[in-house]
Amino acid sequence: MATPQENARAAERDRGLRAVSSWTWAAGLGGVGLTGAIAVLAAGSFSGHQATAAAAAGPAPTVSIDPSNPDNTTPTQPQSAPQGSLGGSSQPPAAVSGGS
Amino acid sequence: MLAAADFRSLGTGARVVTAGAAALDVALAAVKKLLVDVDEACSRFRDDSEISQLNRAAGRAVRVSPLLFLAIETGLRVSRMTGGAVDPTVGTAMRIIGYDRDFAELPADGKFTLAVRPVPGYERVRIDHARRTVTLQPDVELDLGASAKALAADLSAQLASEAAGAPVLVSLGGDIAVAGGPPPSGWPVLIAEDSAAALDSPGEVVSIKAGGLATSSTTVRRWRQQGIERHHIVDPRTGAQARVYWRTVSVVAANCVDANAAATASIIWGPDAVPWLEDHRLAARMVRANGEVVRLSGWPAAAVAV
Repeated sequence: MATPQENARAAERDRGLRAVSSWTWAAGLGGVGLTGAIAVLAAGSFSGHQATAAAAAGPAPTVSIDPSNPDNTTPTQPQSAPQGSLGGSSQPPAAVSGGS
Repeated sequence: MLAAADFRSLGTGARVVTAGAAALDVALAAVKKLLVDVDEACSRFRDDSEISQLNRAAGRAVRVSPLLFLAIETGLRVSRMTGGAVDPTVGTAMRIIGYDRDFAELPADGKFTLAVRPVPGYERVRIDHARRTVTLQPDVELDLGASAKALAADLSAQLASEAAGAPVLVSLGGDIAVAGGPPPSGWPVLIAEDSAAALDSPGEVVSIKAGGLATSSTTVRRWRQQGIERHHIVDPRTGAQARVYWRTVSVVAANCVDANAAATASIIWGPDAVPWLEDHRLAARMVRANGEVVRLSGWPAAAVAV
């Protein structure tokens, strides 16, 4: 299906992504919900699970379960930014956050 | 002293900012390299991308690269987190409403169809961590869209900061991730309806020191389909574009993926988003369709750049 060129590109990506496993940021972001995803890169040793969830009908319940987690008990919740990390500013902006 | 560079990637504007000019070239190179990889893995507008090949192979298990696996798993996590309000199986729905190519290539007024329907649902995507395979059920077409862009911001900011040994801010279409510790007064960011707004545009400026900031809006990336105005945020419950209660939502979270998911889900949920955001202590700035601004969970009062 894939051409040799495509395979070579994919192999190069794989090599690059292996480096991800050594990032110290995994510890920081892992605590905020990307643990499972990063762990895939680090070890790739979870057993498979099929994702299941209720149909979309409004905001997610306060507690939900991450079915990709081996013990199936880790809540999947959005993580708020550390306290004090957001404030007003009178500085000239360095970037713009808007729709795209 | 901040230094910045702008370029285009993933069909949108990208910006890399470093604390100190000496770090910019290294940071920029690291970000660009990752974005090339993300585009090759995750763009549904490229016939040769990994995700396009996966979409064509629906019905059987396909081994994918670690990057695509990470992006798909992130998309599924976002779906669970939002109860399916942000769902990567919107690919078919996006094509039906006419968003079937890079936005810059969309015709001014495309053909019309009424065949919208609820999206298949993220639970119809099966992933196998041990084999690193993904199986889509036959009628499922993935569009990682927003979550992949936010993930790319998170990953590239971290990569660039480590490579350059300096604090870095990465903005991809207005989805912002920062890494490496902030400058002394934080990263000042202008909040706008459109990420393409000029830096000297009037508006609120906030300072972020960690995590991610994302904005979703129905006011940009609009097109016409046989005379009907379309926007790009699909409600998975209907397969049609979301009803506009909030026209723009900005959220700050611990990372850009979560911020983006919360912002997009809030557009879809409308007024029901408010208690969800408050329950999760997510700082948010929400603009009603009539322009009225609502600030939640500690979002600072307006500080206007002049």
